[in-house]
Amino acid sequence: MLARVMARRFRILWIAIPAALAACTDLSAVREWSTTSMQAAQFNEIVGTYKDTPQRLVRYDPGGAALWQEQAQVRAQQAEALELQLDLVAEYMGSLAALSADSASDYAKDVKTLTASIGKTGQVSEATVGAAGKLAATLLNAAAQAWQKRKVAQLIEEANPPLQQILAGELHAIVDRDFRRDIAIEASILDRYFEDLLRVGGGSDPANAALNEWFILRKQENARRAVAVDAYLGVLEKIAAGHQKLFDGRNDLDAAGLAKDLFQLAKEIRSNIKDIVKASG
Amino acid sequence: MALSDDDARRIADQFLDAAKAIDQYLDDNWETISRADYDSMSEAQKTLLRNSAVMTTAAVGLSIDQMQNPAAELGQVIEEAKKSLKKLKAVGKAIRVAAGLVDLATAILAKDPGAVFKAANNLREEL
Repeated sequence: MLARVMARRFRILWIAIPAALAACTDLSAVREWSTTSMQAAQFNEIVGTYKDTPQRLVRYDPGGAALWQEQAQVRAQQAEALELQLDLVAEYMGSLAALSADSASDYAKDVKTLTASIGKTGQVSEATVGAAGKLAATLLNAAAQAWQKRKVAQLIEEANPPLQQILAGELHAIVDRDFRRDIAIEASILDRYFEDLLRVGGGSDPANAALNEWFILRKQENARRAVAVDAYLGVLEKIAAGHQKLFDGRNDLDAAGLAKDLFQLAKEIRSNIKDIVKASG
Repeated sequence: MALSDDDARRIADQFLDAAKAIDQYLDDNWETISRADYDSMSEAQKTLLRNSAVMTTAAVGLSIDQMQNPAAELGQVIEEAKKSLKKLKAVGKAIRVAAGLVDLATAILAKDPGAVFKAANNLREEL
């Protein structure tokens, strides 16, 4: 009788172990991409640039001072709202990274503590406790990883529609059209201010040379702001594209093709971050 | 009819394009144009640029309004993610508590007060 029961238990184990091992999953690409996306979303200096545009422009358009001051107040509130949106995206990416972490579903240490405690009772042999512990850890980890994989897939599925609406929709339009236009407006106001001074100001040659140098400097700053906008737009597009890939491949999150795409996107996002840092420096 | 974010963007672009056209005209004709005309066109260009900036701010505001619902949805997803992570951590905690209980039971059976005290303290830390 006992032999039959033992044989049955072994049969169940032989079925359970390969099934459990098959459930093991590698979410390292998801983790790396979401961690990089979380960091990138926080390089949002362009929001500050947009907020401060009226304060910069009032120097070059004093005739519009009242309007620029009013705009500065409205934009200060908008900047807070935009930063909250970007913080939300970063928080989501952080949650995705945390839920994709190997350590989240690795109970080997905990099981070792338990088996050590059982071993100390002296009622079960050390070899048996050791073997049972390893098996328990394997099965438990596999079950937890399968659950973890399902939860990550569910998270991606639920997050994709609102995330795409924020990243690929509204934020994309704001950065691509509004922030870009804002920088073009600044460039035109700088042109008008300095050209007016240089053409009709009637200054001496050295004064005009100094003025021209200042003009070039301001235009270079303006061009760097445009580079930062391009780079941040790249970040938004890559985060949106990466999440769409995750959504499309959510039922096979450790597929080699998906992992390759995500690692590549993470690399490109890091390159965008470097451009933002360079443009801000 | 309420202004949409797309309307605001289109108008802002049109103001900017008009301002650029004036800029181009002034660049091409500044040597021949009268000072009075130059000043008046320069002022017109500035007004167009200011209006473009105002419409830009309006477009951003309208887009921010449209992000409220998806942001709330995303916030809910984040809460679910945190709950899932807590569940995963709770499994590890349950195992550690079981280990603590086994230690405590062993110490009680061994009638070792020192070990009972230590095991109880360890268990309290896990709970």
